[in-house]
Amino acid sequence: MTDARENKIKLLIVDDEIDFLEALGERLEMRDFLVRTVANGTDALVLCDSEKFDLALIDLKMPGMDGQELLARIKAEHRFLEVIILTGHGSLGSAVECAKLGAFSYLPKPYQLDELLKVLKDAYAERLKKKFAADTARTRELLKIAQEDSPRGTLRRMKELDDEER
Amino acid sequence: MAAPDGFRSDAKRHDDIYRGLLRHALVRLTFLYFIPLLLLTLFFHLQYRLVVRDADHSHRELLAYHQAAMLEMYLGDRLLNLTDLTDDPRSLLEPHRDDLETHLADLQSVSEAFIDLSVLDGSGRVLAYAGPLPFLQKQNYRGEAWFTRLVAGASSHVITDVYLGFREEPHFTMALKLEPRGETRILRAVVSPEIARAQMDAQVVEIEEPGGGLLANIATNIWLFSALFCLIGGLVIWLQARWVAQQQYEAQIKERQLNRQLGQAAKLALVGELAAGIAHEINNPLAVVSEKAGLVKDLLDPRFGKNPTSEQLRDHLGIIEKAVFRCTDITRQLLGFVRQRDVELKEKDVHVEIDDLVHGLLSSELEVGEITVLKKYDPDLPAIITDHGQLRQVVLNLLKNAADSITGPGTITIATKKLGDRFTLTVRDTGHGMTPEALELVFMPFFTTKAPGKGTGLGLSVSYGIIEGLGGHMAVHSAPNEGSMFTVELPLKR
Repeated sequence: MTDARENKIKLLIVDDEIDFLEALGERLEMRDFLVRTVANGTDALVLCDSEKFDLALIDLKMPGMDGQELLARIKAEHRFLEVIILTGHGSLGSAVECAKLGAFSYLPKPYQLDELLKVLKDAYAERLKKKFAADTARTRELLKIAQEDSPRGTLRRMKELDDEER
Repeated sequence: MAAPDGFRSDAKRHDDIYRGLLRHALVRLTFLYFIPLLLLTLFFHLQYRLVVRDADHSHRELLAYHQAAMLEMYLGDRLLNLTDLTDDPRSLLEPHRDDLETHLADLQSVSEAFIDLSVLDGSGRVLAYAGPLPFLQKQNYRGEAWFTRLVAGASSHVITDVYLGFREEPHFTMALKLEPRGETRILRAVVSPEIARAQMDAQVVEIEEPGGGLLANIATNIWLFSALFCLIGGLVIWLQARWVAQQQYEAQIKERQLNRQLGQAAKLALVGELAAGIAHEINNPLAVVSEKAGLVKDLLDPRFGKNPTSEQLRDHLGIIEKAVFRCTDITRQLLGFVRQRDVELKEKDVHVEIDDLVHGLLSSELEVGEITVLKKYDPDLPAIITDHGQLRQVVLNLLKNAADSITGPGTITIATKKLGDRFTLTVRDTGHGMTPEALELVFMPFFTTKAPGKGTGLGLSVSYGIIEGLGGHMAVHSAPNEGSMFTVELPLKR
């Protein structure tokens, strides 16, 4: 069971449209995603702190904290979490804003499921690429520290770097 | 058929505009050019008149002085002529008329100005007379001024000014006082001023009048110049006025065209904004439909091996149906919003119409913005006869603006009140309000405080036009951070 959870891509979906949220969640579960759904930004931030996610699908227009603000706050705390913005609005202005804030992609509703799956796949690939690059850099740093410092200092520094990953 | 008529009236209107501009330019330029010119002309004319008067005066003075001198000389000469006759004063004691006639003839041979000759005694009695007026023989000159002066005075002669005397004709009198053997005898000759003048003129060298002609010339010239100046000025003004009018006319026409194009652009922008709003309202339920339909498909797909119950499927399909009707609702309301162009009067309850907006088209927006709507409806307000489609557009616009002005939780208060045969509809928000500067411009087309792309700045100006068109008024009260209040006043019956 633990293995099965570990093998799945962990996905967070945030949308105030409950019917949409449930249906999409169920369909992506069927396609081997580990899905958690929440209906507003505040709940999403709480969940992000307690669980680790690989990807997030966020609706742009929501009551309270809107998608753009949520995106900015998630990106500030979890830099390897790739965010895809969903919106029913047709304007390009918000797409540009979201791209600046670090969204991986911007998908207009309604979409073909294959389209969404492709974007999710690409987003996950992006996450791995960035993470790999970061891991390599960290490994290099760790080796450097191991060569230079005293054993206690080295251990403390390595622990710090290990914790940085989140 | 309508189009050419339209063009013709358009051309006529343009013609009128041009003519109006031309008239305006003409009047303005005329005043600008001619008023100073007229004032200057008047000033110089007056100055000139003064100069001419002065010159004329001194000229006359000179002339008079000159003539007086001439006359004095002339009369002096005549007195000498007269004196020549008195070589033998005793002959005057008993003067004889024939002798006098001879003397007169002698005198007249020297100067024709001598009219007659007489001898008087000390009491003014005429002793002898020679000349054309024999009745003077019987006159007594005792009372005459010249006589008394001569008899009493030390001078032995007198020359009078021109006077009428007994003969009642202008003449000079020159008289000599002689006293042969103690008797007073006065020899008097009368000189005609006309003949004297004629004789003097013959002697006088003609002196040219000092500048009189020249000045007179200037007078006529000034008027000639003025007339010429006015003519040329008028021509210049006419040409310039035409030029100015043409320029202004072209500028106006260009401005009109630009306005028309701007209006077109604004309409397109409005359509764009509307389309984006509609897209959002429709795409969300469509996304629900798409996901639910996909889910049902997935559940029935043997690859997933789900074997759903018919109850599960029915639930999902029910949600699809609901979402479809949400879309229909939106399109229907949209048509209601767009359709009315011509005024379409209907009797309807305004409160129902407002509720329709708040719970329909605007519900999601109000919900998302965490905005509470308070209704303070007047229960006495009857059904209103007006164009509800247009009124709906105005109320929608006011509510949208109110919602846009609120960040975070807020309240919109919608109130109605019956006031005699009219009623007011008030939309009040707890939003950020407006500065006095913004307040002044709030009904101007294209004025917006919203971020670029968020508002066209047309909503309120269009609303204002609609309310005026429906026979009402629209007013606004607002202050920064205190929210805004828009009041629409309309007749109960349009």
